[in-house]
Amino acid sequence: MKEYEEDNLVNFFRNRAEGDQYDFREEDWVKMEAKLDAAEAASGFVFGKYFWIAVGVLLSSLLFLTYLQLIDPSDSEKVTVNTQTLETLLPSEKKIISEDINNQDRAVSSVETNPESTAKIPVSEHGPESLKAKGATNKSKQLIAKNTINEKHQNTARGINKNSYSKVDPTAVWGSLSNNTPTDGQLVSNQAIIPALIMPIMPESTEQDIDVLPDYDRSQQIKIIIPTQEEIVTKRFYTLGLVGGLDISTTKASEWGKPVLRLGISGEYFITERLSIGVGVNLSEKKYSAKGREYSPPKGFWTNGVVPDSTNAICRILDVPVTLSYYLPVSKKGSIVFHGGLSSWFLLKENYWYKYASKDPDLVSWWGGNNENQYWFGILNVAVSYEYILNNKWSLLVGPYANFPLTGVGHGKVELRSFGLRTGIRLNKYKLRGNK
Amino acid sequence: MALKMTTKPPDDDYLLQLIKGCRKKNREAQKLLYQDFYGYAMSICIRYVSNREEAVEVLNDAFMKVFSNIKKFDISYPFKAWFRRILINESINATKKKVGRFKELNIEEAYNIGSNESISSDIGHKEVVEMIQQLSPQYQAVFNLHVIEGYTHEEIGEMLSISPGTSKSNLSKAKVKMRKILNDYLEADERIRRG
Repeated sequence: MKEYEEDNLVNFFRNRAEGDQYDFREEDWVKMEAKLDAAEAASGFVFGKYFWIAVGVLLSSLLFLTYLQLIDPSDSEKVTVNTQTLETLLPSEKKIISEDINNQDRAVSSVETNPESTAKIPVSEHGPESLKAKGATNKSKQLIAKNTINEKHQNTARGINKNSYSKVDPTAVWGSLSNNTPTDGQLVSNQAIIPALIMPIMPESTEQDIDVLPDYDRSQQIKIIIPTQEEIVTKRFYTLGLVGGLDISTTKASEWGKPVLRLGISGEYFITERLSIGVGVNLSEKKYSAKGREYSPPKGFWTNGVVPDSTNAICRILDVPVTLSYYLPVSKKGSIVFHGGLSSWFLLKENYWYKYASKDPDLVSWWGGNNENQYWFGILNVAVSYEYILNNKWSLLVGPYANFPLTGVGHGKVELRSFGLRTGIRLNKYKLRGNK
Repeated sequence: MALKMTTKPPDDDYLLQLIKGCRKKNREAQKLLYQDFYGYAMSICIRYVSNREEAVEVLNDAFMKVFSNIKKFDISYPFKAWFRRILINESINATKKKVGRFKELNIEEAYNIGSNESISSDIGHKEVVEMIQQLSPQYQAVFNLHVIEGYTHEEIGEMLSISPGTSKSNLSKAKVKMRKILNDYLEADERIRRG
């Protein structure tokens, strides 16, 4: 009897419990879609395909720059050292310049030549090696030889003042050059470095015939030219960099949001030696909370005027800063950099969730949109960085930054502030001061 | 991806197409899958909760699991069975959240349906679901899993993190409670018929 009752009950429910009698409701799908959007947005650093494309481009750029660095360590014309002769230089037209720049163990040698003439200097008279400058033309050519300049040479160099003449012992210069492997660029280093420039005579420069080959042939005279400092000192021309860091956002009345990754590229053009103007593109997905009262959506947005207690936001933002930077050298390789400027923000994707004290299901609980808000130069950006020069091409930059909106941001016009720590690697391009 | 809206039950090829679309996170495919399996999913979820709104939450959580794990689904197996297991798991999770730890409950009184009493065939799915929803969440879960889904007490014990003995005990008490609910329903129905 009992078994019959059991079977009766089980069969009754089993047969009737299954059913497909529930019609699809659009509002349920809307909730589902909100969940899907939230999951997509909240999936940390998974920003979607466009983000990963951007990351790919950045990484490819970095690899490409590294590749260029590896296969072509010199972007100036090569100068080879010939152990036997110094060609291309006609003694009567040579100009050798050596100058110590700012007492930073930099010396520059400059030799002007007539491309159609050559001079051969016996090795025996000038030490075991001499220099061959290949492919000399009227165009300025340069080389830098890392060297531990002996004190004599430094003294010689320091003895030459701007727009003045001096006698230079050519063996000092040549010896310095010939004993080292030439490298490129104008370099700044804690080692003594001699840049040797083969450059045209500057019309405004003064010149004087002097004895430069006292032990060789006094009838052969070399003219010494001392260009102005503007002519020989190098300066940074521009930089290109990859920037990454952690970004955290907050509003006036709320707690800190979650730290997120911020990636970007930047470029700077140096107006003067210490002042540059730069532009960048940074992508981040800001996660923050705001009080309901801080959120000012379009009129009529809140259901029955009920303002939520709090809002949670995830906004994908493309940040395009235009920045002035001032470089304050603090050591031979380091500078403190002060940045300030205005950023344009492009809100690529916005998602907001609203939390209420009441559980009324009719209250609006979510809003999302793509490319709904843009702010041209609407955000003040300030930053301080420390830049460390790695070598004559690469430098590292690290430091904190802050963004302060000059206008409300996003669908709720929230006063969103962002802070973070960024680091970057930069490719630096130098040029001779005064060279076009 | 071009997909047409349909009200017909999804056939294999169509379902495969939907699954492929969902794997690419195609929102249109996701919506169509949701739409096609909404009724089926709701009929399961609603038995584990007390109202339709709660069921929608469970259902959406289950669909989220489907969409986020659809790449792991082996298309050589029936989708419905895989989906059903997800629905049941999500329903159990919802019940666990609601009641906390499962335990053996006491029931006030037992009420037997008479052996000669036939159960009205007029009672349909909606009425059955309403009856099940009158059970406490603990009994509801065990009753659903054993009576309707056909799981053994060992399996239920694993799913609900309780011992098989507790499962048996809860089921027994759930059946007693259910008989009372059913009897009350039948008596009320009889009274209405008699006017």
